[in-house]
Amino acid sequence: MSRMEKFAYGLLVIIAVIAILGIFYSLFGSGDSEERVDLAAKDSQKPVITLVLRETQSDFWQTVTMGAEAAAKEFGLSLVVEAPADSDDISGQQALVTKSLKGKSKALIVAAADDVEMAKTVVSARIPVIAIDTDIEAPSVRTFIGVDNYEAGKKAGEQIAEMMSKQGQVVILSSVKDDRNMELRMRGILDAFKPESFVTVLDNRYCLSGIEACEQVVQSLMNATLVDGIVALDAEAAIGAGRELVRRGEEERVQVVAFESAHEQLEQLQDGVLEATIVQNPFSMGYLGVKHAVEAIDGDQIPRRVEIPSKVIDRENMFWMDNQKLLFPFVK
Amino acid sequence: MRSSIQFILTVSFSLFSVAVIAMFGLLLYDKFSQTEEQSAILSTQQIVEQVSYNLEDYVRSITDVFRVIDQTIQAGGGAQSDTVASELKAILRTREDIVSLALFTEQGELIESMPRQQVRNSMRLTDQSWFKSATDTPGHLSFSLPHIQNIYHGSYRWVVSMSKGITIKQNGVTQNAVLLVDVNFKQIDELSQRVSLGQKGYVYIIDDSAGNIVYHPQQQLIYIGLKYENVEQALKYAYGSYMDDSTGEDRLITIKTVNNIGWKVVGVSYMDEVMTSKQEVGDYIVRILLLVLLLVLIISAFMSARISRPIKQLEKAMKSVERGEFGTPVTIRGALEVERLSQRYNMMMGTIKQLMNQIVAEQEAKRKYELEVLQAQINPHFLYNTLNSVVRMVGMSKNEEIVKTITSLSKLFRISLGKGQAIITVKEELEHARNYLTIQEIRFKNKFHFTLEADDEVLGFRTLKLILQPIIENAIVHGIERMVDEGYIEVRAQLIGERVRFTIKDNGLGIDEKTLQKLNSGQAVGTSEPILQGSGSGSGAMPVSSGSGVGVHNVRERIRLYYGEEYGLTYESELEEGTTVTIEIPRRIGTGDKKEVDV
Repeated sequence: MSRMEKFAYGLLVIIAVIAILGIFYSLFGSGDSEERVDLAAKDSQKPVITLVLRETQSDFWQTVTMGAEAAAKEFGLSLVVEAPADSDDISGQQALVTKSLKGKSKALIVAAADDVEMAKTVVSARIPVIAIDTDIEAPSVRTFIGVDNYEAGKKAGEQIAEMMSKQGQVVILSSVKDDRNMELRMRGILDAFKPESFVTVLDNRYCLSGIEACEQVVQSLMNATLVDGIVALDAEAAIGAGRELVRRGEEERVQVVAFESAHEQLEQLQDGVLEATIVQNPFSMGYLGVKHAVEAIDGDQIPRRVEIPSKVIDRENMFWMDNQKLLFPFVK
Repeated sequence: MRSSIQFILTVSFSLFSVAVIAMFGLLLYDKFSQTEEQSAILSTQQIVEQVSYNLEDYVRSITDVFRVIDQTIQAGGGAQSDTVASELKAILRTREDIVSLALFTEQGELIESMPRQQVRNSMRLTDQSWFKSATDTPGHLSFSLPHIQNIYHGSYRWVVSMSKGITIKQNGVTQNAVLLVDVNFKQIDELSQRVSLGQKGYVYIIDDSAGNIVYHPQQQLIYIGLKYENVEQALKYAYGSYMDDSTGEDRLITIKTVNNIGWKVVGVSYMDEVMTSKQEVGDYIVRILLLVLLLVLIISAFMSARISRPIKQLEKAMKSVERGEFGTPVTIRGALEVERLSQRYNMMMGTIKQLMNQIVAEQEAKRKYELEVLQAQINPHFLYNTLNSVVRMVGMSKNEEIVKTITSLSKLFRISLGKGQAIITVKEELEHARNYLTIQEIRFKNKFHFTLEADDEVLGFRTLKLILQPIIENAIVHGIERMVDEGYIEVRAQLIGERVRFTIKDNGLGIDEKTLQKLNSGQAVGTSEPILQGSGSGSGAMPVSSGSGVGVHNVRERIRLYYGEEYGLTYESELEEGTTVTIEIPRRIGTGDKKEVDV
């Protein structure tokens, strides 16, 4: 037998082996294709991504979920959404994250209630971790998707300074303390005030137990001194401040710039109690979280920070086409 | 480089089969995928049409409700009267999706609203798009894009506003008014959301006039710029399908316009999903191809082995023949042709064996006759007899005859011993015969005489040595010696066509019929046995001591072996009349002839 023949026979043998393997493979493959008919079975074959939120009740987090679900549908994933019962339940959220890290999730998306504690939990994660809303300083965290709260704070500061004609006394009001995002917003506001020498920051006030508490804080504050402007760092603070101003009948005089877009805030905005509010885009946050999680699973390079621009909403633009959808994400 | 049959068969058969299957598979795949694509387009179209029909139905139904409300108000001369209000309430109760209805003056003042709600005093109604379109074209029902209902306190809901400029009589005064009916967008939203075209596909709705998005599952992403939808392209079509790759993916866009409301339903399905079944068909065909390929390989290997094995066996058998083993017959089972081939081969081997045996036998015979001739060349009896008669002649002082005899004898021996050659010229052979006859004539005291004649042209031809002498000897011994009368021997050499013919004719006793037959058939008379001439076979018991010892048979066999079956000698004889022997050999010249050098 010549060398060429040997080679050719070898080739034929290889082809035969490949053919056999192909047939075997297709035999197993055909088993799969039968299962494919079963949609539930197909769902279970999709890669799983877990989204751990701070809570699931508010419009904000529901919109995040909606965005994440839209992306999951687009990229063919199975999305598991988890959240502790209470948005401040740090250990409860940590437990959920630990559980999903042990499970079959291919990636984890976390909106941390406490970034420092969460960093300890995800430090040993083997799957890509993506932080949304609140950044987490841990090496396993591949990217952060959210608003630059410092920048948002600056915007708010500039807004209120403008509205007060760059002079007057401002109160910064927040319903939570020691929250990373709130701190960043605060710093942004303060930095925005620096060039405005006639704007005086009266105090940083925390109303730690809801809208009524905030109302009372504002009430006692306004009883004591003249307040020209209020920056409310979150919805509860804004609503509380708004209610108090309406009660006092001082909604025209006192300028209020807030964050977030709760229902009552929007009513206040339309009625002129609030002058402006800085809003995020939670739908995009959820969508991009899942999108980048998919890219991380595929081993693509993803940026460490993905910023979603915040938007200043006022009475004029709140019913514009695009803002309507942003402020009112749900068709009820 | 030569390839074996097995190889050629296997490879070519496999290649051929693979090519055929691949071509067939490709055609099949092409056809399948075309059908698949068409059916996908068709089903997408059907879904989109269904959605648009549902929308149309819905729009028609709320239009009907609007008309009823409109008529009720117009008939009642305004909405303030209690009868009209209760009727309107009844209508509103039947339709959950109608959020509110309201009647405004042309200046934007609320006349009546239902359910009774407070209008925000901060609202500038006249700036609202639904209000403008109602006052711009009175009597025409217009639909707004879905928007947040923001004129009432309490709730923000997504609604589609239906507005129409109407005239009402209020307190006997006819005045223009705007009727507004807000329909919850939820129904349309849900209808559109439920539709899925594959896993990723979806439908969206755009406004015909400006291309604004009425519904899109990823509306927010589009507004923020994360997604792009090629609305301009979709606007160009009223109905139909086209392919779009503006988002980087191949998508099938199907468009259907919804009548009355001026919206377009746009279906988006992803081609990679449509093609999944195409992929499956492809997989299936590849699987079949692999299976067939495997079968073909096995079959072709088996077949080619089956075809080439008997050939290889044959080759092996031939190799053994090469080594000299003729004995073993080949028995090969296989295809008809191969079996025949092996049969023919066996037959051929038989023939070769037979021919070889024949050659061996002929060679042996040749040697034997050669030996006899050699022996005859120095026949001691002849020499003895001749010398005896010379002695006798010396006694009688017949000097002349003595000289003649001795000279003849010496010539005789010179020719017959010669140079050891088996082939000599006709001239030499005749010379030899002449010397022999001369010696015998003297010995037998002129009891016979002879003549030798030859055509000049035959003298140069070549002939076997010692073919005339044995015949002449026979003629003398059996024909003439015991004859009373004077004998006569005539030797002739002639050229007859392509043959040289010798005739030895005597007038002796002749040969009887039986012996003649045997002589002519060339079988019965052995070389050692003298040929008996004369009347009685009994007298033949006496051995012919003067004979050369080389018989007629020897001559005949030698001629046959050298020249072939068609040459030889024939006897013609009649008792008491004489015998004629004819020898025929082919005419040959020179020593260049292979046959002559041969021995």
